[in-house]
Amino acid sequence: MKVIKAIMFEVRDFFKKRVTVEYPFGDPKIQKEYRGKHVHDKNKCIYCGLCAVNCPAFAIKVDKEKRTWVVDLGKCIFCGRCEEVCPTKAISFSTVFDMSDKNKKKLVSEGAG
Amino acid sequence: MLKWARKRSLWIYHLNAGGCNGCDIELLATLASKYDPERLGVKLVGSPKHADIIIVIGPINWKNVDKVKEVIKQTPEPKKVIALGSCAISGGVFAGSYNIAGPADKLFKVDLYVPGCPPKPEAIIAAIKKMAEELGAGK
Repeated sequence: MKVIKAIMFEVRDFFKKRVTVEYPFGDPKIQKEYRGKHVHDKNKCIYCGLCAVNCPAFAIKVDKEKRTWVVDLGKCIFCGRCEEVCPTKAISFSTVFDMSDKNKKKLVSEGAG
Repeated sequence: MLKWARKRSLWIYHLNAGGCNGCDIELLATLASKYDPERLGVKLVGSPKHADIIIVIGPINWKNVDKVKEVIKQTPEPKKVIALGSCAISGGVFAGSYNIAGPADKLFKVDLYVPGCPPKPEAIIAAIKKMAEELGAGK
């Protein structure tokens, strides 16, 4: 009797949804609140430099005259302070999580999108 | 043949060099059953002499700089070193402190930088997969 019960469990679990994340072969399932790579909107940004001042890891560099905005992903701690402090909401976070690179210099980015 | 086999059996050595434990928890979550990296042949080992990949976590401080160098030296070739998290890449929030011996690439060769504070388990799996492809290609 116990054996039949065990087999029934096996059959039931075989058709159940998997609880593991099958990432390299399947969907990674990321919440949309996840703070991944930065998205910098060049049209909205007024280059005030508030994000660079408030950054706790000194990862953001803003040049007011040349109008450039770069973030060093190797320094960034993804706290979300720059998004919070931006007066024109030019900075937001995407769900891009795979930012790894072989070259350290390529980690300095102008933001996705 | 050897290269093909190496691609499918990667043993990881987890090396904490003064990190805050955030990346450690995330790495252990990666190695646990939810992400189940053993389907990729990834396994945690206790000795650097058995490892293919060394994952360095944390800004290396003066107290453990010799031990970290020794661990890197003990690992047999071909080895890959992954710098995991902002601290190992650049020092992160600890950059410029008096007790930091410098980010990982100042002391030894680093093959892959994985940003994040801490990186997501999926990002760690993606990084390991990149290294597996490189070892498979014989680089």
